[in-house]
Amino acid sequence: MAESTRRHGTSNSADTAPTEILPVLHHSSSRHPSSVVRRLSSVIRADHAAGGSAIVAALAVLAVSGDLPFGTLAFPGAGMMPKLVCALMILLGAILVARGGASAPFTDIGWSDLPHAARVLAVTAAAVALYTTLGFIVTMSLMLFALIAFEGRNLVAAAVYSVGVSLLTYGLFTIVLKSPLEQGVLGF
Amino acid sequence: METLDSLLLGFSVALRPDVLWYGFLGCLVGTLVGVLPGIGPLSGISILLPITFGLDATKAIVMLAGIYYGSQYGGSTTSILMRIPGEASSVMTCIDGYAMARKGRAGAALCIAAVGSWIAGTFGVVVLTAIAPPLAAFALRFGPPEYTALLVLGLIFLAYMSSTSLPRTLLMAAIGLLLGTVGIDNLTGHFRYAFDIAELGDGIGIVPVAVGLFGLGEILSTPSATVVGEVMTPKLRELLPNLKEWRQSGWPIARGSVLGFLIGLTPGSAHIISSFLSYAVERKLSRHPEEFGNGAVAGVAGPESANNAASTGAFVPMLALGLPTGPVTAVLMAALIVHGVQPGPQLVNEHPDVFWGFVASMYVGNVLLLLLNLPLVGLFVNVLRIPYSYLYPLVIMFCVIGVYTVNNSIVDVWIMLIMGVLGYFLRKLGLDPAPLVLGLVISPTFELSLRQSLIMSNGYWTIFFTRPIAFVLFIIAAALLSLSLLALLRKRSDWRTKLAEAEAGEGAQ
Repeated sequence: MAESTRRHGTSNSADTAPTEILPVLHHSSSRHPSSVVRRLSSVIRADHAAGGSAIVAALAVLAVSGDLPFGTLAFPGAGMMPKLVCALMILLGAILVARGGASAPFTDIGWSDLPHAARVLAVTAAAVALYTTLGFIVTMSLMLFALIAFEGRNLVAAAVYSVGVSLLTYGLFTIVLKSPLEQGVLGF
Repeated sequence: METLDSLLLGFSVALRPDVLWYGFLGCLVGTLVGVLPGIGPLSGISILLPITFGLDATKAIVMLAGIYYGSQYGGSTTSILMRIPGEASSVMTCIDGYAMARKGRAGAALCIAAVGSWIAGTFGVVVLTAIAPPLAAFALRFGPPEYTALLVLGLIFLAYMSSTSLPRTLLMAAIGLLLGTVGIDNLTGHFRYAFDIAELGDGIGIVPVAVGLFGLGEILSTPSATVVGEVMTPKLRELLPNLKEWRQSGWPIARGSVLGFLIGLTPGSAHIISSFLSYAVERKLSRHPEEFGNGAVAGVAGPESANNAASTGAFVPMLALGLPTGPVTAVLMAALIVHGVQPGPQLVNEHPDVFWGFVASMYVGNVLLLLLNLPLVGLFVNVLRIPYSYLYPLVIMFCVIGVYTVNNSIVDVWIMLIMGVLGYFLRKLGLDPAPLVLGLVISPTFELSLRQSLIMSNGYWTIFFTRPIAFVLFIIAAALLSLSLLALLRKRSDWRTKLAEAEAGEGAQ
């Protein structure tokens, strides 16, 4: 919690930021479009993004809730709770957008960890897709190996570690904890 | 007298060798979870939840609770020796704990942290033993309107106590409430947002959401290059504090225990808030405030005691009212429900062995943790020598196993992945994911009690104001909401803003 707060959560240093949008738009016609985007993104705050996303998400949920009846107060239907919560999300999202100037600038958010996140996510997603087909040992060995190899570690050590850990975990769950793991088409 | 008899029954359960073994295992794993940066108690409990499926409810809850309070003990180790908080509630311990370590008093700091944690934990259990049963008896008067009011109060209290802001916290809770509506509607049988995916008929589980948001989300935002640290290993003979250090730690431990327990009763990240408040209180009361930041004993003793007492305090509303005050207690509640035990006012009467066995196991667990943490500190520190690039793939593997094994459902694992991405972006935007998990947990109960209340009253909202308990709860909620809105409109710094600034400042050091 402290980490996230430290990075983006509590900056009150830029209360005047929303007013900066006017000069940006005023000068936009004489500038290159990419610089306009850059300037515009510099006045967007973390809470603008959070509030805007919440509103869009709530509207999307409302759009797919058409067949859920709201019911009456005497007999509320299946759609009452989701629709009330969506309305609450839109309200709170609007408050966040309106008061967004107090939050950290969107451009101040560090994205240096994005390549790491994308890599981990891609490898894990591939492993999840293969999990039921290839089974625990093969899938997890491959996943561990890929993740460690991407970190630039010694490939032989990574391979030994990956296979060893997968086999040990499989044994621990299947034999000691009597909680069998996925076997897949290969039978292990 | 009746309580004492019941407690004896509890000890007869908790001291059974098999229960004791699982309690020890939970404490050991919890200490490791606390020591390792990036794995919090929530992900630890969620990952190991499926392992408890083969156990009875008592052993399962004893083991999982051991992980929770064990992680509070273990979190201090990395804070003191490496200036890395193994757990969020140990952030304050980093400041003076590490400063003590630099002065060659690492062993004393570890010992004070462990003894303070033990005293606070035991104090918390004693108070829990005294107040949980009468509170549960009182809660038997609750019907659907009272539960609705209680849950609304819980959410408002969570938002009020949050060190971010009211709209942010409520927005996160609202997303959780919305996710909780996925699946078959209990009253009408409608399929909601299932999109022809059969697995979503039962709704979105707590485990995939919690593991995704906290476990995977943390890993996604922590590249291995950023995890570095120099590990100091104190020698066993250096572990005893001197007389002056014992004297300096006495009152901070006592104050931290009381403060932590009281804060632990309230919804929110109580164990984190309590350690920050305890640190602030000790600095305020100290005759030598200039020592804080340079190795003040009170700066270790107070926060460490407070976070352990808060962890125990959080069990009171969970056990007595069936109301989780945070994501960890929410997952523990889910674990009990999986084992066919519904936490709440009926728990003491319907499952006395589980309730009292669990309470007694906490007395035993605190002693086990004291014995584990001091002599074995060198062993735990060695775990930190495993390179992070080898460690995090292992954690991901356990996340996958943990989530998949709950229902043998690959859909749950995909949900975990989606939640991991959501958790990553929430961190980027400075939003705390904890209220989302809480919203998800209370959503079914909240919806059911709200609709039942309206059906009972034939559609009149006034039912919430004509029943005394519900009315009082709503009045308290309205008062808290008004206080928060007032601070929001005046744009004035109140204690929560100051707390957030303190967190940001200390975290940045």
